[in-house]
Amino acid sequence: MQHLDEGTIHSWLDGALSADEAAQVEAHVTECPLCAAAVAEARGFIAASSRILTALDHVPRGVVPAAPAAARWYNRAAWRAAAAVLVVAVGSLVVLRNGGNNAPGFSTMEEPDSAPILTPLPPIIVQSNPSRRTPIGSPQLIAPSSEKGRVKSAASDTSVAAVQTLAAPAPAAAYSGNPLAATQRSAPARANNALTGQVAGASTEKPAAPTGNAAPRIQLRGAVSAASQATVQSPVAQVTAQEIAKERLLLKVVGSPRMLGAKVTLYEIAPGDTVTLTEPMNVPLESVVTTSAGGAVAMSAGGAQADARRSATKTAVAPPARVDAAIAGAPEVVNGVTTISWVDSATGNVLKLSGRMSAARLQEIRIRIEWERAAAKKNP
Amino acid sequence: MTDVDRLFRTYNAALVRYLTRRLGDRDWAEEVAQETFVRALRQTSIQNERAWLFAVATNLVRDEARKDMRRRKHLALLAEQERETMVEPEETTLERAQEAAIARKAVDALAERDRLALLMREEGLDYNEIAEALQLSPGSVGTTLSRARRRLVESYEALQKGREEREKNAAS
Repeated sequence: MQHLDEGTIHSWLDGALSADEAAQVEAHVTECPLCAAAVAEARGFIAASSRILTALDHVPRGVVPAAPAAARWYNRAAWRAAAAVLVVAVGSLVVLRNGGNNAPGFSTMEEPDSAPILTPLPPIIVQSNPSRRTPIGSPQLIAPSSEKGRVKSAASDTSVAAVQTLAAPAPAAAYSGNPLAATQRSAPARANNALTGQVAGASTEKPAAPTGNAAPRIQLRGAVSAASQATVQSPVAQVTAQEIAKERLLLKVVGSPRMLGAKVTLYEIAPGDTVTLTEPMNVPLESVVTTSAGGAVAMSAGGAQADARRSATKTAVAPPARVDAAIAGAPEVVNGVTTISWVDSATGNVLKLSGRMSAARLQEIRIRIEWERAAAKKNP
Repeated sequence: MTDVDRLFRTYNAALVRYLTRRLGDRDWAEEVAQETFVRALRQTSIQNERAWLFAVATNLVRDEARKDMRRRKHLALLAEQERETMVEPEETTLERAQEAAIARKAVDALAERDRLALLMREEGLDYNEIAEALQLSPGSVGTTLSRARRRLVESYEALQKGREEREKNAAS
């Protein structure tokens, strides 16, 4: 047998040769020191390339390409302030669009002194090409340069400009004015990457006393909650990429099985994790009576959820579940599957959401669903 | 109708890792993986599932890569600057980030087909699957992989050496 070429050696080492071929190669290698050396070298390359490729697995989210966790420009205080202002702006916008009666109810901000006051933005034209791979406030938006030192001092000047640009993708997410948003559910998630840590940290969602109708506030909470839900464990809020939990809420419809008298939708929120939304086709008479209670329910559910998130823990907090249980009807647990139910403020239907998870987590998903449904309604 | 649930459970992790290594961005990788499974939904049945999934994912990447090439290069340059002007290094992640950066460069230096074949092999695809996914002859997969591995390792070592030289010069 002639000396082995590299391709054959690798095929042999990868187990891709037939039994006969393999036997021949093995026999030759035993006798031929040259080829034995070539095999040893090939083994080295195979192992080394494997190792090198493993290094590529340590990639944080939302950056192209990997950037060190410590140096994230969006962790700076000025950007956080800008993001806090953004939350208010978006909130105002949502309420205004819904003909809400009063001020949003965000009476305080965590960093009022460092953030410039923004008047509610005019309806924002959605970016025609909201590239979902562009980090928010990508460096080309920063006026002088992308150097860190400059960003720090210039942030107060640029934050307004940045916020206005920052605001664009968020409303894109909130209003689905962009057809892209409907088909790319994770686009809002990515677009809000930079914000979510800030949103979770900076927004003060004190459940204010209800003023006007509850619907706008639900949507508002939904928008903020969705933004913070979108990347619950964004690297922005964490120290290293490795500490990021796998939790990311993507509402992906994976099925709509038919059921008599009901519309059922299956959402996949994580590999192997699905929740089922059941909506009756007919409007049950009882639900009409409970609408106002349902509105209040939804609001306190939103408020309770906001509190839970503000405590910055990843796991569901018990109190919100209890609050919800007391008002909305106790979540049922059957064979490990929890079901929560509520009244949809728009249709008056009783909706049920089931999944193998805690009721509090289901509540979070429900808020996301409501938000998406509301957004979809604006753009059928 | 294909059982996408099962496909997802079985292959999503490998697909996302493959895409993350190819793209250098986990979020993007997950989006492409998601889109791949959405397309699987439209298939009545799939013969060689793993090969099919990896082929579709690869094609999606190719299509998008063409569109965004210029923008990505711009961002890559800026990210590079950011890396170099790091303020507070953290112990372990600095190392890892530097390794990842060098690995990234080394992988990107490969020819696309070599790179893809190698990444698929790392996810356990056999030669027939790789051949099918990349439209190669099965006989040529071995040569492709041998070339890819050798070049990757040599590039990596050259880059590493270059960095060490620079650090040595900077220190002296």
